[in-house]
Amino acid sequence: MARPDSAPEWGSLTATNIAGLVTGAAGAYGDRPYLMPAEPEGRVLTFADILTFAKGCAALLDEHGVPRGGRVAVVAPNSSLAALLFLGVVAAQRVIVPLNPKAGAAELDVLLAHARPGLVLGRAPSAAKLEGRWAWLSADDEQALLSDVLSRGAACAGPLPPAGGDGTEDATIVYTSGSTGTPKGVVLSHRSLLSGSASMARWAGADEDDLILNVNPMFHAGGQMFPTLTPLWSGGRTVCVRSEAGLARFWGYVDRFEPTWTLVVNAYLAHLAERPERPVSRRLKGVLAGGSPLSPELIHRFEGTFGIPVHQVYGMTEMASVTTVEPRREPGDRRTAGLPIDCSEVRVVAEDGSDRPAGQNGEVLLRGDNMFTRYEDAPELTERRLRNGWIHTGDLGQLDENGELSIVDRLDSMVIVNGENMYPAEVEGVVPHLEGVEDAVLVALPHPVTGVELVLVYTLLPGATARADDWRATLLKFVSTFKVPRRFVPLADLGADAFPRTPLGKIVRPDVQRLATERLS
Amino acid sequence: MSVADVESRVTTICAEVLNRSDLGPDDDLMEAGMDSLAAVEIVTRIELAFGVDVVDAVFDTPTVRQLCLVVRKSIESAGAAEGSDGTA
Repeated sequence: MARPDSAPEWGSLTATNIAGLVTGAAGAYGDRPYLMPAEPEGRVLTFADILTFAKGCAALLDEHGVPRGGRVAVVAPNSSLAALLFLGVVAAQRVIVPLNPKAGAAELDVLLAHARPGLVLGRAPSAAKLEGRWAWLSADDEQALLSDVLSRGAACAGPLPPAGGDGTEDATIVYTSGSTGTPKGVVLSHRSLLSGSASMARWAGADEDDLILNVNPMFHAGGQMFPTLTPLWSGGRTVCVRSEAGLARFWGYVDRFEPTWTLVVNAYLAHLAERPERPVSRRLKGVLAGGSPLSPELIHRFEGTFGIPVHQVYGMTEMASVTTVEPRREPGDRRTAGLPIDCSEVRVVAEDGSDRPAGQNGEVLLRGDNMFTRYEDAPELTERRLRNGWIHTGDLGQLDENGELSIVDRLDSMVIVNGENMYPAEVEGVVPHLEGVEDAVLVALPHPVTGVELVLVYTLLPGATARADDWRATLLKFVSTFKVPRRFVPLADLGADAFPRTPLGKIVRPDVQRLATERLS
Repeated sequence: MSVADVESRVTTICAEVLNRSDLGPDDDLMEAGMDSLAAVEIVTRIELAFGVDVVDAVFDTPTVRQLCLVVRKSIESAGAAEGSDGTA
């Protein structure tokens, strides 16, 4: 680990918190462009503007009675404003809780009750889901809000209020799926985000010419750390577009903004390799891709088609996203998830905790300056996952003789859909609300683009009929869109009359999964 | 192109992509099974058919009626611009 007790640094900048980075970047890079707008009516914002915006955020949040250390939830898809609010709120020493606007109303309620924000920002469709239960600030007119905050900031003479502290203070709470269906709020400190993003700047040799295309949601650490913070260190630029638009218009964005780097979920590679569009811009130095295991065949196909190197990455929210990156390869080389970035360490251990030799499988453990502080309000879960200073990932993997990591499988039932984690229990918990369904199990079938396709295998109550449309509508009220099964299949279609059960009556999921894979793939 | 033509072609595109025979103008496309890949396919086909980008609408207001509204507005404003140039 690189100097664990010193503040993160890159180039001429050293910062113990985000306010320090924003202030330092404004001093070092001033009127150079930082944020390129994808919005038609948007404007380019400089490093100096980001500092002004952060001051404006501090003033706005003072006015709304959100104290320092208080929480601000932002329920929004990616945009210039989403990136600015992340930087502004955190630099103003409030804790940002970014939430997925596609979350169901019930899911949003649970997450907000868990995070207890002093203010929620978002657009009208999200406001409708919350029905006035939280202090709300409309972000429907993004440009108006952006201008308002900038003018508040411009009216503040003097620097950002000094942060104090040593960087271990909370910066953001990022929610991910938990195995029990209860919210799992990963608390990341200023130090965690700064360490990871400075390490990524060193890995990429980032400088003022770099531009990162951010198609990762700002409600994931993957959108916050490398795409948004790394250019602040290096004097480079970022553009923040919503993930779905990024998928639909990827090469359009590449040709318009000429990025040098981007970080995508693996589904992008499969999708782009199948489509006829080709970029004109030759500036992309590489595509970082992760979120789920990636086939070497697909990597080679993508690299062969576009002539752009793919670097696999591995990480998790608990490590502020990217933790290992694949080094530059010669064509035909074996592919791995790569080596740890210079603020992180990786081990692969047997069940007794001893290190496995190269080439042998074990559980992947991670630690580093970029690691999380705790799970919000869940000390027991924190103790289970964070033992002796190492995060127990639940991923099965191996290291090779060079120390490069490969991920082999999951040790639990977690499923990765299009780069998003979910647990079958989240959907199965809604089954009692699905009219006519007696029992149901969520299974995941292989899918060439999204990695897996979710299928709900069900049995009906006597006399009931299948109502897939109603079930889908009900599920959308409870869980995020990506968790809703694509297909509903009666158990009889798998050639079984009854679910396989343990002696205690619990359905044996692996058996159902196996049946479904045989019959439906 | 008439309002009915736009609606009929947009309905056909959405119905084909989602493999549905019974898609009403106000049915929520997400509830009809649209995932992000299906949405990309719909956006691409509508762009090919009308030259209009509905990428925001397909995620923010995912119904045939709302998509048609975006398409018609865009066609009308393009038409107005051409008219003012005297090229229409």
